[in-house]
Amino acid sequence: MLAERREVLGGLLTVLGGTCCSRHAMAQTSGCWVPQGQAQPYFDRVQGRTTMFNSGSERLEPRSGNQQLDRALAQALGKMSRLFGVLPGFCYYDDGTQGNALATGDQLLDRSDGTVMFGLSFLRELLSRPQHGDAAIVAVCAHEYGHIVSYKYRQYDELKRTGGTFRVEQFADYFAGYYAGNRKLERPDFPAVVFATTQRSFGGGDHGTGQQRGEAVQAGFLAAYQQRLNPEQARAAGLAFCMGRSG
Amino acid sequence: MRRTITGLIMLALASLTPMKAAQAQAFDPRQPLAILISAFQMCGPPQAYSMLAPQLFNMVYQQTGGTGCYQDIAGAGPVSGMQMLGAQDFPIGPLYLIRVSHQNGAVADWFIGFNRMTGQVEFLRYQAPQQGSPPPSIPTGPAPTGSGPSPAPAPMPTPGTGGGSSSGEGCDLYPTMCA
Repeated sequence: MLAERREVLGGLLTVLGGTCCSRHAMAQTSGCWVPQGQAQPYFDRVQGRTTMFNSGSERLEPRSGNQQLDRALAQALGKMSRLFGVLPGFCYYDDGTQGNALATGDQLLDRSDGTVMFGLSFLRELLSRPQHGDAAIVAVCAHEYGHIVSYKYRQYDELKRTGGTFRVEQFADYFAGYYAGNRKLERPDFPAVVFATTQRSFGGGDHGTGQQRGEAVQAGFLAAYQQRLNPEQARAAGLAFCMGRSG
Repeated sequence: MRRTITGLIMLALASLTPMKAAQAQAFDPRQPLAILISAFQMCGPPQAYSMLAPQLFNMVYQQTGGTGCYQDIAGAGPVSGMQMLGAQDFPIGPLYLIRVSHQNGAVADWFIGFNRMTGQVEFLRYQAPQQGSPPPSIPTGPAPTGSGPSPAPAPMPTPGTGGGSSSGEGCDLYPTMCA
């Protein structure tokens, strides 16, 4: 299983680093992204404050507790960073019983492009899936990195203004698919479809239905795998795709 | 409403306890099937999935990404009728063929097989009836004591395929991603 995981997540660059253990507060979240400027409560390590989050004090963690998983995930995130042209900080956090992963344009961990946080209970939930739990984790990370792309390259405002959270989420799903398509070009047996089924399984609410989420992932996948779009082209195509979508 | 559903599930579970011959004759598989179809449509309640044998549970979990519901089954709407088309006893337990009609007009033929010892659903499959073709039949296995084929866990066809086999990994939903 671990060997398989290494295969799925394989890569070279490690972006995980630094320490981000802290208590933090629940920011005003909307789905899996935290509006810029509202993430500070997560990062009060910097400020030295202690605040409350849901059931109590929560911790940010630099490690999942599974060294091999951390290493492999860091490699996958390195590939993602290079492909997407973003370099966000990444850490785990205690998400209690409400599994989630979050992205914000706010900075932490000395990274300039915002921060992605992965809930530890969410991590365990995905790992417990009968098959390809590791790929599901990367799929979620790719989605969160897709949010970072929209922050950095300024698609976020237009998406949010015209289509609310739904289009913001569709764009992130599109980029998750774009990552999967690129990986499949590199490695034909890469389980790209898991990216679609993973997002599909979390359909509902303002993220779009499972079907809509799967379609967005598939569109991004085809942008890479069939159309061979470079990242800049993919950002434009992703924006166009999302602007044609309604929740 | 929830109490009613829970009651129905408890009733179905009670009826699924290891079956004796006399009980088997009185057993109506339409009841657990209706509960399962409802669960596949509504993503729960969780108790409904306890009717499934572990292997089948895992397959459903895997095919639905952990949600327990299938979008196309949900799209068919509530069940409006169930007709028993056949039954066959196998060494492991009985297998039933049931034609299910939905309010939106969809019709599906379901095969549901039970483990006589555990009372759990070991086999579940559905397919769209072929127009102009006779109703499907349950293949007759060897003598009950034989070692031939018996209802075995099999992937439930992912909605949208019209039945048949499934990769179980979403490839039937997103074939272009599995090239």
